[in-house]
Amino acid sequence: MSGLAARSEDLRVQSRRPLPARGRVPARWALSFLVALLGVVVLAAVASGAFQIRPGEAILILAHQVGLASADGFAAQQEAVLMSIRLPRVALGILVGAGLGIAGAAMQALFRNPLADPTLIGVSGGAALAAAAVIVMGVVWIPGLSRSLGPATLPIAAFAGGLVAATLVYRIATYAGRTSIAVLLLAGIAINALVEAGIGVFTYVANDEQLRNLAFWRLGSVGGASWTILAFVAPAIGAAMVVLWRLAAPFDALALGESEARHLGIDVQRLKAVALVAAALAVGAAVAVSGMIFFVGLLAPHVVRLACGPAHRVVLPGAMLLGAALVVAADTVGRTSVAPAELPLGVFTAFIGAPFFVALLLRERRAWVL
Amino acid sequence: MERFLTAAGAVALAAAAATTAAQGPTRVVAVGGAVTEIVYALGAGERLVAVDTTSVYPEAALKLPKVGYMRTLSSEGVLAMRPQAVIAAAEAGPKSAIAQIELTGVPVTTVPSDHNLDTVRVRVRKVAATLGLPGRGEELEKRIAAQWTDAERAVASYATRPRVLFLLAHTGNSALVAGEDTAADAMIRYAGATNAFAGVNGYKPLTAEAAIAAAPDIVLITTEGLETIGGADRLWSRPGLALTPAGKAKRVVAFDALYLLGFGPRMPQAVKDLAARLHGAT
Amino acid sequence: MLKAHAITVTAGGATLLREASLAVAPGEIVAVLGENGAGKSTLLKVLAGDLAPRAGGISMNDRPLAAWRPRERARVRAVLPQNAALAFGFTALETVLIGRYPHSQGAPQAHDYDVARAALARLDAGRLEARIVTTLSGGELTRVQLARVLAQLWPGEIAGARYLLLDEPTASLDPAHQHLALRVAASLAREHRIGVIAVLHDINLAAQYADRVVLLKHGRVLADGPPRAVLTPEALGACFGIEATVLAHPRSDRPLVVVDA
Repeated sequence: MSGLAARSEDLRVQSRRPLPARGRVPARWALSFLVALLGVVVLAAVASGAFQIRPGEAILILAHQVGLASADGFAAQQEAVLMSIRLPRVALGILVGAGLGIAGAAMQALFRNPLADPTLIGVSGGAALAAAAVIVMGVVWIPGLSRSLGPATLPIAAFAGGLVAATLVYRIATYAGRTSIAVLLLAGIAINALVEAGIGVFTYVANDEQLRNLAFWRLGSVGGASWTILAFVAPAIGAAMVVLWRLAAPFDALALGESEARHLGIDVQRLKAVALVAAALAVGAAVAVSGMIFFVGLLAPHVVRLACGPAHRVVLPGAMLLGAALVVAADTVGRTSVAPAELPLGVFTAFIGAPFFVALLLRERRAWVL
Repeated sequence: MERFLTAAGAVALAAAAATTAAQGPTRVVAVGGAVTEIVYALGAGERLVAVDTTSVYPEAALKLPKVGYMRTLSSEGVLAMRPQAVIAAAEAGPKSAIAQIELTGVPVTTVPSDHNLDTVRVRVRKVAATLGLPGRGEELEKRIAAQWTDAERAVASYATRPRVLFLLAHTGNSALVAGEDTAADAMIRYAGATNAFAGVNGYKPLTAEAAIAAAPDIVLITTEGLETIGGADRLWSRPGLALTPAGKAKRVVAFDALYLLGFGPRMPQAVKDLAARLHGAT
Repeated sequence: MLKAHAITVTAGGATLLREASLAVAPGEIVAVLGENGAGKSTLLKVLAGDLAPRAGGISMNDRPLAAWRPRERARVRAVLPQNAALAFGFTALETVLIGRYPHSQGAPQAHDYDVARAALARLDAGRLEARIVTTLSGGELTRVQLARVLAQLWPGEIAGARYLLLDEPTASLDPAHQHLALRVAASLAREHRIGVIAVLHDINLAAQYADRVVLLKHGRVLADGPPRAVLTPEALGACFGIEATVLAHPRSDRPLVVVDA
């Protein structure tokens, strides 16, 4: 060929669909599967619990809410348990899981590394520490602030804490446009250590009731869910999800490098700032209501990437769906396996996530360029 | 949404109220060892359908289904027992679980957890009221008052005021000392002794220097705690304890945790026993 | 015209470029030669907007670089970097599609796919389409990246002059592919009025393909002109510190440089 054809018709066109790489699941299949998976998990979650509600009764209760069924098929208390305890809990699990999933994917895009995870690199820790500070010191420390912010003080503090930690880690681990994964993880260790120390101090000065509130942060649980809490958290996590999802294409470009992304016409500074703030918002809101939940932000995007490739058009929504399914599933197992007691869902995400992380590290050993 | 749900809760509540109007709730969940004790002391033990894991007295309570630890309840777990009422100590939690239980129409009565005799009286009164047994409640109160007078007399009869250090042992290596505003501090003072760590507030970690400076004559501990440590011999290997008067004479007094610190109906008896052991040991 | 005027760049006490000026017109190929550390990549980075000069200015199509909005600038100027980040395992096609971002804004249409495929084919990388880039050899990867910048500047889409900056595009390519890459650059220049600036290491490649050669030494422009005028033994000696013999190429009217042992 001597020249380059200028019009489509002159180009030799083989097919209009991209050829999937060997072993990759096409995007449409994967996302449909994940939606179905989430649906199944949610149904199972709504139908399970220490309190006996049969699936049929659950359906009747839900139908009754929208006026499609009478109140005959179930007891009033079953309805109360389903609507004011179980449903908010499942809904919160979906929100938190989706938020952590997409925040994890965004962090991995930002740091250009598939091992970045909000908890590993200390972002969740920063949020938790800020929340602990508010719980123990809030009224004393900035007197007018908690009064004027009211019940929003805690989530806002968690968001601020997460943002500070995220910015700090980014600054430490990035030099001359390159991010070192080793420094990233080490910075995360440092921040998590600081968080532990801080929470230790707060534990020491806390009174009994504050202590009980503090213990909650280390475990990770959506048990405190209520519609009021959801009304708070849903807009925050929802907004973050929308913002991040729309950054799919710029994230792809960023994967080639910051200069390359700039050459493609992307305002890289703005992209980094928006992504960081949105991810911190999602993580902060999640931590504020459910404590520290490990590994979801690492696991969900990574599995989607393994199956479908790194295109963020698939990874971002996939991470949301898979993250939600993971959290809801872990929570369901946690509250049914040792009923009437409950195991915190963080235990299960750690049980699955930690070995997965180790497996990842082993796989990457060959290509270690730390 | 909340308004709508409370409607469902209200229906459930009304249903519950109807059945319990006459003789009080017949399906009760008790959370907190002292609360359970009071229910049994009121002769209403057969109404309990479940208790928490801190309810270890009387023996019948051990046979009841458990709803988990007092501070980490699961709302569905409690509700699965289909209680008509829940009676809980103030430390029961998490608060969100309690709120969720109430939201479904099951009333939750909270009894105070201060560390004094008056609390015992208030607890008895509240539990009796919830169960619809005011008469028996009054009788129990009178019995407790009589036991208290007896205990006071016994305490006053001792001439000495030994210095006591209360040790709370969680795990193998960490140990906390009870300062002021703790259940142990209150019991020590009621029993006519002095808390060697009266200068601090709440539970604080044990340090060698502080222990030696406090110079306790006796170490007070729960039997469960002593087991956790591994026996009296291992106790004296704790930092500094061996160099205290208590350590040199190897004076340790152990009591069952719920009996000593529960502030239930056996509290006056516990004060009397404690005084006897503390003063008899010196 | 893409013009750099009197560019001075300092970093940490060292002066990387001293009042270097360079211009490329649409349809021209300019090769930049020099030793390591002469400032070639620095100059390219300034032209690419990655580095802000201490003094001097850049203008593109008669507007200062800073006056261009990012998106329109990306449709007019493409940059091939020396090293590519390979954090994630995109396929070659996906990588080339990313180059369509200034046009597709992230929602690639059928046309974008066609352009991407054609670009790969033009770089003899069509069969690499479904390969994951982290598994490619250095040469294959360079060709995929070239296809990407080609897709970014695909002919016929924008009226007006456009520019392509190449930082050592032939570094890991075998001889056949070296020439393929430069032939693509040449046809872009000749047939589609794209101004090409290429940093090259191989003097003879520069001689064969460039319309103008620029010699850099210690951050200064030593010479700037057609190959036959610039590639003289004296100039090469001053620039590289070598003894060179310049012959007439047997089959073209370009000079052939042989470095004496």
